[in-house]
Amino acid sequence: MDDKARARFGEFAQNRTAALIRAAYLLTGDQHAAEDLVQSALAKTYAKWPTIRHEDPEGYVRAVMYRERVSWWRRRGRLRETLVGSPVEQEHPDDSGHADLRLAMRAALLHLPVAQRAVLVLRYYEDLPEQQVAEVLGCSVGTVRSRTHRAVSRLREVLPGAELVLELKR
Amino acid sequence: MNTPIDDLIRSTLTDLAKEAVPMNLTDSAVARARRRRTLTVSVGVAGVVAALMVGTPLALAVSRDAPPPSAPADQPPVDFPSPVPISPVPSPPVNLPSPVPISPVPSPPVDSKGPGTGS
Repeated sequence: MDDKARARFGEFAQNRTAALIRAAYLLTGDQHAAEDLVQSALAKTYAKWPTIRHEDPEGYVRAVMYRERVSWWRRRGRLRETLVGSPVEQEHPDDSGHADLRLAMRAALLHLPVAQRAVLVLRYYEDLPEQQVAEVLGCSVGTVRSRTHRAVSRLREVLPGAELVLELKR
Repeated sequence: MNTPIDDLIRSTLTDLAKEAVPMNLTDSAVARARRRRTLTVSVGVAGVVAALMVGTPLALAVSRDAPPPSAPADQPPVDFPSPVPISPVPSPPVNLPSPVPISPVPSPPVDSKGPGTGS
C-alpha cells in the first residue's frame, strides 16, 4: 500500500473510530471487548483497503464488525452472555422521569442474544432500514424482521409493565 | 409508527452508547493487520517447506525402489500398414489367353504291341 492510501486509511479510521466504538460497545457491553472488536475490524479493512477505498469503506468495516461479533457468539455455542459485574453506574439527569425503566431496559438489552441485539442496534441506534440491516448482517430481510420481533417480544416479557407506564406518562 | 417500547429501546441504546470511551485505534489496527499478514505468510512458507521435506524423501525412495528399465528387445517384426487395403476375398478366376497355343488334336494312337514286338 502506498503512502497516500495509508494516509487516507488513517484519516478514515480517525474520523470513524468513535462511532464504531460506540456501536461495538452496544454489541459487547464492555469497553475492552469493544476496542478489540473495532481494532480487528479496522485491521481487516486495512488489509482490503486498496480494493474498497473507492467503494464504501464504512459499510465494509461495519459489516465486518457485526458479523465477527455474531459469528464469535455462534462459535461459543449460542451461550447467553451474563454480565460478570454490574453495569457501570453513571449519573444522568432523569429528564424523562422513568430512570427505573431505563435501567431495567438496559440490563435486558445486555442480556439479549448477540444476534438479536445486533439487529436492535442497527435498527434503533444506527437507524438503518431493514434492507440495509440485512446487508450488513449478511442475512435475509425476513430474518431481520423475525429477530427484531423476537427481541422486542423478549424485552416486553422482561418488562411487562413498561408499555403501560410509558403510555400513562405520555 | 413508534410504540412507547420502541422509544424506550432507542433512548436506552443512545444512553448506553455514551458510556463508551472513544479512542484512536488506527495505529494498533495497522500493526495488527501487519502481524496478521506476517503470520499468514509465515504459515504459508512453513507449509511449503514441510511439504517439500516430506515429499522429497518419498519421491526419492519411490524412484530408488522402482525396477530398472528393461533392455531393448530384438527388433520385433513390424507390421507396417499396407497402403492398399487387402481384402480377404479371393479374386474371381480370369481366363487369360495362354501364350502357347493348345491344339485340340488328339494324341496318336498308342501301339498296343509295344516296341520290340515286331514280326
